[in-house]
Amino acid sequence: MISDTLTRVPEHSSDEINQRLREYAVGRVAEAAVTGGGRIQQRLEELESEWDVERGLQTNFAAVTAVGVALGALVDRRWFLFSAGAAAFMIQHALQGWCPPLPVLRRLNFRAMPEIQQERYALKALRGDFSGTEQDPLKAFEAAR
Amino acid sequence: MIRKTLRKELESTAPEINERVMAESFGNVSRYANEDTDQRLLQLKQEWDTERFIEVEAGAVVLAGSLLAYYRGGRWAAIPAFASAMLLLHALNGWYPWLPLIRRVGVRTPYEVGTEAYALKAVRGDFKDVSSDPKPSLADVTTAVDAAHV
Repeated sequence: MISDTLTRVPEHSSDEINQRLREYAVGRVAEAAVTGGGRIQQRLEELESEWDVERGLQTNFAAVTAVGVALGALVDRRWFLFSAGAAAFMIQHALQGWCPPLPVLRRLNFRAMPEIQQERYALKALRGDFSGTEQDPLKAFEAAR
Repeated sequence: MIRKTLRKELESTAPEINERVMAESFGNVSRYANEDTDQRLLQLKQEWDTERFIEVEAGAVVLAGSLLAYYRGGRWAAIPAFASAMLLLHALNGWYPWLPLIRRVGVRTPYEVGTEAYALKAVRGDFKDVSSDPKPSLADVTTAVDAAHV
């Protein structure tokens, strides 16, 4: 089964975790919006740097397969099967949106990019970035960048 | 060098390619605004971004290389070792050996797909009910978060 790019991670996370991450986003937006001043811009920049679940998983897979390959070359060649298995899970994650390390990363509050973007654009909207963009593609596109 | 998540692929791509992709994205916003917005947002949800391509490609190379190393001898291990290193480089820095190629044929980054989606939502008026109060209430914040859902 091939899932949609944007929703594949939340679809393969428990409702409880999705709900908690949404509450987290609401809380962070409220905190930044109410503080106001430079805090909104500062929070937007933090969100640009936040490690999303893809970045975390790619780092994880790179490390796990590298260790498997090194042990395969140095200790026992059956370790090559370990790195092959990890690589198969990475393909599964890319196509379907689930892999064994995903629940762990989600529990560590790694968010999917659409979840980070939701917080980012909610903050931009409250700041007024989208006022007057209705029916105006050029203005809307500049505001969304 | 470790770059910001949202822009790491852009900063690893030639500026003229980024400009061309942005111009195409804006063209899509103009074209699909007003009429096929719902349909276009659905397509954007399904669009394969750079991360998805790279994960499949790196996964396939590491899988094939590891099996070759197991069945045909340890010298093949150089292939998955190199591919793992490149995946780590991509995760940290954004660059990847195939990135210039897939960017050139028009594969977009998550940031670029998101920019088109949110611009379409703004044109449609999804943000028109969001409060402009400098001290928003919790209800205002919830409205904004719901409006920003794709």
